[in-house]
Amino acid sequence: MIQEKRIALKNAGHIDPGSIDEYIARGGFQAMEKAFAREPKDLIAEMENSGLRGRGGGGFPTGMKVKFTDQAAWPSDYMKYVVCNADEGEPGTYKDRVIMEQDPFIMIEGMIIAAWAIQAEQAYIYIRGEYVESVRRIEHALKQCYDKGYLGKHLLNTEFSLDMELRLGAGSYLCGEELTLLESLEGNRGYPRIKPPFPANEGVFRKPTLINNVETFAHMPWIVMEGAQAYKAMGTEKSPGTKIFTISGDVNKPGYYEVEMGTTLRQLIELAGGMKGGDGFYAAILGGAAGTFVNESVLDTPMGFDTLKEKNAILGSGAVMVMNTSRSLYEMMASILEFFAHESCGKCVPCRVGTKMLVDMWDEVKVPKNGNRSHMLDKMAGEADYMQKTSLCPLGGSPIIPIESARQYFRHAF
Amino acid sequence: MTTQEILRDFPPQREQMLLMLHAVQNNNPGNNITASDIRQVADYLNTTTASVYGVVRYYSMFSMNPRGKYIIRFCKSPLCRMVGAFSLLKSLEKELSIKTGETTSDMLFTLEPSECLGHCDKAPVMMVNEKMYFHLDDARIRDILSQIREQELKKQQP
Ligand SMILES: Cc1cc2nc3c(=O)[nH]c(=O)nc-3n(C[C@H](O)[C@H](O)[C@H](O)COP(=O)(O)O)c2cc1C
Ligand code: SF4
Ligand code: FES
Repeated sequence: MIQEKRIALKNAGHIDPGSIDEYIARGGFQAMEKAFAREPKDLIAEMENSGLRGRGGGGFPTGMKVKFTDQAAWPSDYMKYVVCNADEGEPGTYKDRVIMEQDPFIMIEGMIIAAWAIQAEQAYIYIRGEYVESVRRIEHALKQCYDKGYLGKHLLNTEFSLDMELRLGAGSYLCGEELTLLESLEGNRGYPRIKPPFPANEGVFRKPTLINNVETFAHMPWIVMEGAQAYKAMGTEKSPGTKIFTISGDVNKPGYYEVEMGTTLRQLIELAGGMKGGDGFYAAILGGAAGTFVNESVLDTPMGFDTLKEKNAILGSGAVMVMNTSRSLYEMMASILEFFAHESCGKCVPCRVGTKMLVDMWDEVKVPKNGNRSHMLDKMAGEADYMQKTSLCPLGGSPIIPIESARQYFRHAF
Repeated sequence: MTTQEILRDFPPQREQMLLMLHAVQNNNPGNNITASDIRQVADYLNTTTASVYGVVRYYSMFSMNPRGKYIIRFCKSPLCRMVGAFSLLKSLEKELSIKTGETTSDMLFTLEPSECLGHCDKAPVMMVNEKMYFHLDDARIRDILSQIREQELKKQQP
């Protein structure tokens, strides 16, 4: 059986998350010191060479994003910002919560390193309002960091100062989308902005902003300490490093597992204690609601951003929802489509109307009135495809993802 | 505390608005944000009431209607639903004699539907105010409710 390999979770369970001293005793803030001894440009190159890709779902090369933010067209005396996306709302995903609850410092140290790299003196952590425990942990950790001088003025006797503040969401999945998050952070309704411009050029307060996921930041201290080459030696060629998968549903030991990228679904299920109930494996949804239904033909595909894409599946946030043979696809898809209908912000017509229509159409798939069920599914794919082409933001383009995968992998079920 | 007093703890910047609204709502006995609160926030931030109203109405955690002392957020996302969240929600409605979205007449409970609460490995789950409850079944839900009711009764006795 494969073993876990922990980077983001290396201290989880080993330290009291309320104690900065325990974090320091396990090597905490050494990466910060090492980073501050280096030129920011060097550090950016290190991140690029590591091949780290965003763990929030998109998989965009992190080093490149850091570089773009650093080179943003604003005059250098403008403020730059670092923002941590801790809005975790993708169904089936709870990795960021685990990091924040068990080792909040590793994420903060990653953010400090990123801030040094682009010389940003203000940072924000945006946490979803329902994550009460994470909020408490982060608040407490920030206070300790200020007390010890890891945040605030003249860090480690340099000219560099950094403030880090907490912001709360208030129950909106869409606010996890980066530009919507920034809009919400500014105190507005969570309506998306049009892209481009990207946050690297016009982010919070329309200033250059580096926005990354909690897990992405949690990898940065390791990369600084061990180097890009060591990082690249793990995982797959195009998706280096480790990934926290949150596996739930019909397995014996559901939970979070940090393993190398390229681990297969079969190996992950084994790590999670194997299948539970029914006559074994039937289906899995990979990546959350904006994720893909897959069948047993994907069990041995290495899970990385590109390797799954070749199978028309996605890695997304690392959510893995497992179903045994007693489960119905119908319920799961219904829940996903209702999720989108609920979370659509309503700003543009194709998505506002489309998400509701898909819920109704799926109802008809269960009890076909016109033609056969497979035909209805094709019609839904047509509608969802139109939504993707005409919607303002990626949420309107999301329903096509599970629908297409159901067509590809479970056509026989309709 | 009055809303005025709460607002004064924040710098008068628009980016503080969500934090302010959370604080105001938590302070109100009805767990809600009133029209008067909205006017005060608008004045404090030197912005229009309409723009504050727009923010309050957008976010599902904010409510203008008075709500119960205990807000139950019941997860109905895929994994909880897969293990029976819907039938549990039905019995919860019956137990409280209200529909999802409503408040009990004694103003003790409000039942709200929620999307994934990030504890899917312990599905089905719900949140009552700031506390999470895992591996729910009918008996457990009845226990949780009666515990809270007893607690409240004790508080009322001198
Ligand atoms: C509808 C929607 C919801 C999203 N929710 C989240 C989220 O909760 N957390 C997150 O980190 N990224 C989320 N993302 C992705 C972000 O837009 C963005 O790609 C991410 O913050 C970038 O960080 P990364 O490069 O470190 O992954 C979401 C995207 C969309 C379209
Ligand atoms: S696509 Fe949907 S969520 Fe995005 S802006 Fe349009 S209505 Fe809002
Ligand atoms: S689906 Fe209910 S907590 Fe995630």
